[in-house]
Amino acid sequence: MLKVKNLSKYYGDIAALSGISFHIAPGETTGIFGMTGSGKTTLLDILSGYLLKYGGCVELEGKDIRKDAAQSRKEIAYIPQGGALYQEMTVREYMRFLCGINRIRSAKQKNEMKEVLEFSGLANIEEYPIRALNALDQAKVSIAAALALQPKVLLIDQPFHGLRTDEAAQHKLFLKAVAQRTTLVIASDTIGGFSDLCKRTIILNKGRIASDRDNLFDMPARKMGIRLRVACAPTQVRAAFRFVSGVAEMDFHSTSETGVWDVVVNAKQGEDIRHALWFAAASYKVPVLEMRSLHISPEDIYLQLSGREQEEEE
Amino acid sequence: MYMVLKKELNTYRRHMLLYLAAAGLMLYTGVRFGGALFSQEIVEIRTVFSEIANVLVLFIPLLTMDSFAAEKYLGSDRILFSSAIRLQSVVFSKFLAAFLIFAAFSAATLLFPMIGILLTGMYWKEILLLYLGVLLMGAVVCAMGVFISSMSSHGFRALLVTVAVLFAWWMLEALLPHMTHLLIRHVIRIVSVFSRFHEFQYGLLSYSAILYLITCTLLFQVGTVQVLQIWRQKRV
Repeated sequence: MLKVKNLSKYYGDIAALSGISFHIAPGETTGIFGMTGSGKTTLLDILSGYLLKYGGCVELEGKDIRKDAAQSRKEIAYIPQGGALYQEMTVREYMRFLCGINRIRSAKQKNEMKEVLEFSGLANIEEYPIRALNALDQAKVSIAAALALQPKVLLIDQPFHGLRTDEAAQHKLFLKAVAQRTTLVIASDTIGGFSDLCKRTIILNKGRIASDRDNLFDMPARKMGIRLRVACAPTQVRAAFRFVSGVAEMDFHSTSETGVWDVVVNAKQGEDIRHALWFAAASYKVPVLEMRSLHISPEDIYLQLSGREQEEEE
Repeated sequence: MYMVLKKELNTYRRHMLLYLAAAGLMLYTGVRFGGALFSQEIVEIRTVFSEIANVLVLFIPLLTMDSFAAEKYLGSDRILFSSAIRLQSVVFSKFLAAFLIFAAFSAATLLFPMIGILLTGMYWKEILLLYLGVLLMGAVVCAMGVFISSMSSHGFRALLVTVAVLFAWWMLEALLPHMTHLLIRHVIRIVSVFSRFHEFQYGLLSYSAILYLITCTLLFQVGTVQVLQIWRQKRV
């Protein structure tokens, strides 16, 4: 449905986007993630038709969105960060305005608006000025107004921006319902909260695609090793584990308790050394206070791919 | 186009400052015309009109300051410029909204000249020409205000710059009689919008002045479109 081919965008000599290619199928919910400055907003600006000068091509159902700009702009709705709502308008006025500037016929507009207002749970506050609504309702208004256009693709930049944790949780449920109606593309700098919303995740790092995969959130956490808390000297631990064949390396970290150490034991690829470690520790009388497996989560993968980990280290 | 125009007019309708400005304007014109009509001394009515035209024009920065600056500040320019409406239509709608309010302000001041026509037999043709001049000059200043607003993300900054440009124009106008260098005089005449208004002030229907003022209005609108095109391409 939405095909992006070798997209690039430069601000002077700086590449905001470079070599971006992907294809989004109808009905798919895609999350575009990346840290600040990774090019997410620029990408949405291009997909929405806001930015017109760029390299490469964006096609909606096989048509270049630049060649048929007026039509494709009707079919791709865009909600910028924070919703960018006109606070002095009422909910209905705003929806009517958005339909008007997108040349949606008034008869069609009326029916669609009514249905969308009910779907969004805004029917009872449609005559309220937007400034009088809370952040969650304002976020819903921006989406409801976009849905009234019956877009084929809905782009949302930072959908949880400005929402409290409880509001974000409620908004996520609403977004899940929205995802049933249209093809949804969401951009965010964190992946928290999107696990059961986005089937597809595209991670951007410095304007390039660092990862494009389905079911990142469904990926089983990968074992990275075992962490033990022991109440003895590191030499005793080394002696105990030296004959365990699956051990690749060991790291020792002191703790706030005297004589207590944290040991991170990394296993050789694919080996489960939990039993062997336990028996070795028991036979060498190493007091094990705690033992647990270390995993790499989707969040860790995201931090690694988006370049945030590297930046934090620097 | 209609939706943007309606939205802009509704924004003005909710602008408390404009109501205060309108009240102040009516009071000022009332006092000035009243003084001119009922004074025992001979008062040059053209001078009064010139003053009122200047005061009217001074309201324009208030009308245009937020035209695009507020959109940029709010981020709603992304919604406007990614919609099916053409950028040229958005620019024209914003100009038209500001101009219509300016025209309404100007029309309100017509009340006093009408009384003058009835009481003293002032020439209505001259008055109509004066108002035509005011409207054409107002159109140029509206287009210039929208143009300046398109270059900023802060309404107040746009207001200050528009007022500064107006004062610069007035200064040029005031300095013109004192200029001895012919070339400089010629250049000032070319860029001076207000000198075109004087032709209407003296009861002359000058087609070249009309053409000049309409061209200036259009040029500022073309400039606004260009500024916005460049701005959104450079926006990070």
